[in-house]
Amino acid sequence: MRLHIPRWCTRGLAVCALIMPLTVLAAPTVGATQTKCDPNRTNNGASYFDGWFNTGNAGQVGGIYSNIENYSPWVYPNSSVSAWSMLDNPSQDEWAQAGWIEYAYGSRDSFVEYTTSPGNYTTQLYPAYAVGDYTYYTTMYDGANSYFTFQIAGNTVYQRQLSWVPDQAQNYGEIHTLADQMPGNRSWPEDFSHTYWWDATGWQVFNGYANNTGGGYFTNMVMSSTDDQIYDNYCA
Amino acid sequence: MDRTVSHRTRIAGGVAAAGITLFAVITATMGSAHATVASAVTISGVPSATLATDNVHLFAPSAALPVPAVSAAGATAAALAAFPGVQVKSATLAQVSDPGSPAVDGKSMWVVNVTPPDAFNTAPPNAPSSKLAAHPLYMLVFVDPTSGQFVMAVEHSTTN
Repeated sequence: MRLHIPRWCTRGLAVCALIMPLTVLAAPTVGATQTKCDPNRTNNGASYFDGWFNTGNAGQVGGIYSNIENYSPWVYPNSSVSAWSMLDNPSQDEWAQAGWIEYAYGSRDSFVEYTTSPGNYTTQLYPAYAVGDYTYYTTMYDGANSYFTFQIAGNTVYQRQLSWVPDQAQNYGEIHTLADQMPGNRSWPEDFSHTYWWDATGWQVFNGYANNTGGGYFTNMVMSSTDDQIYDNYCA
Repeated sequence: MDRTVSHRTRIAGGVAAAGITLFAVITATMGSAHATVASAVTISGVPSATLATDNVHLFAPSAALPVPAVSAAGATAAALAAFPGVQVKSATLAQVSDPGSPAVDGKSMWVVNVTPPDAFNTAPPNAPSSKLAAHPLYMLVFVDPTSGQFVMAVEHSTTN
């Protein structure tokens, strides 16, 4: 059960101690939990994506950030599951992303990944943030000097010049076999919250298009213009 | 007139002094640069050219640096703890140049060369319908030689 600590608790501990038990009992997430769930599907070695995207003109898509929950899914042996924010150029097979990744048996990292040319990509891995916490994962592009900047929790972890220009931004959960759990279960979805992108005129609400490549296996819920949630239908 | 001559003399003297100082600074700088140019470090199985495309350059650590608190065995253990199941090929102490990575740039690091786990051999993002196979070329794990903490890892892959 997730414990919600209201901001006012930091101001008056006596009042907090009296009221908190009632608050916890009244919290809407009582009974819900973030759990690993083996969906019991056959390993087919295929990748699936569930999330949302938006497109703009090349050179005018300047970044995306999202406060993503660090969800811990069930991962099939020798596979990996991730969730991320990304700038890309699909027609050129180029991408630049930041997010969390988990491997089989619970090992996790934060990561950034980018293509240096079509067919060549580099992944950088960093210590993971706590499961259940929300972390801002950000990818930005500066057209003036072709620099991509990757931030995790507001800290710049990597910056470099790349030769391609993004025309799309995305948030997705990603699995590499149907035997993996897509991040999120019915009672505790994976959450891409407070999502904004830079499109031509500045930072604005993402208001993306939902996209679920797994059909009935997964669910995608656009909660608002800045919030998309996903889960695996095989996981209660 | 005397004042003019004196003024010119002072200017000439000043210019000469400035020139000598500049020469001394340049000489000292060149000497310093020569003294601090470190030899590049290569890691078996990791093409330097490919590493360079990731903006990573490795140099021999300065001899003036103290012996690292963490041994190669300690660095190897840290890499294995961060990435269970990988196979360690080597551990090399190196000075890292990676201008885009504040976590390692300009720092002395244990660079642990590992065989990328199978989990990395998966399709990249952005290819939802075409199941592309990825082929990891190398994976380097950077471990702080003072604290023994895993700092970051770099893995280069190709789909060709």
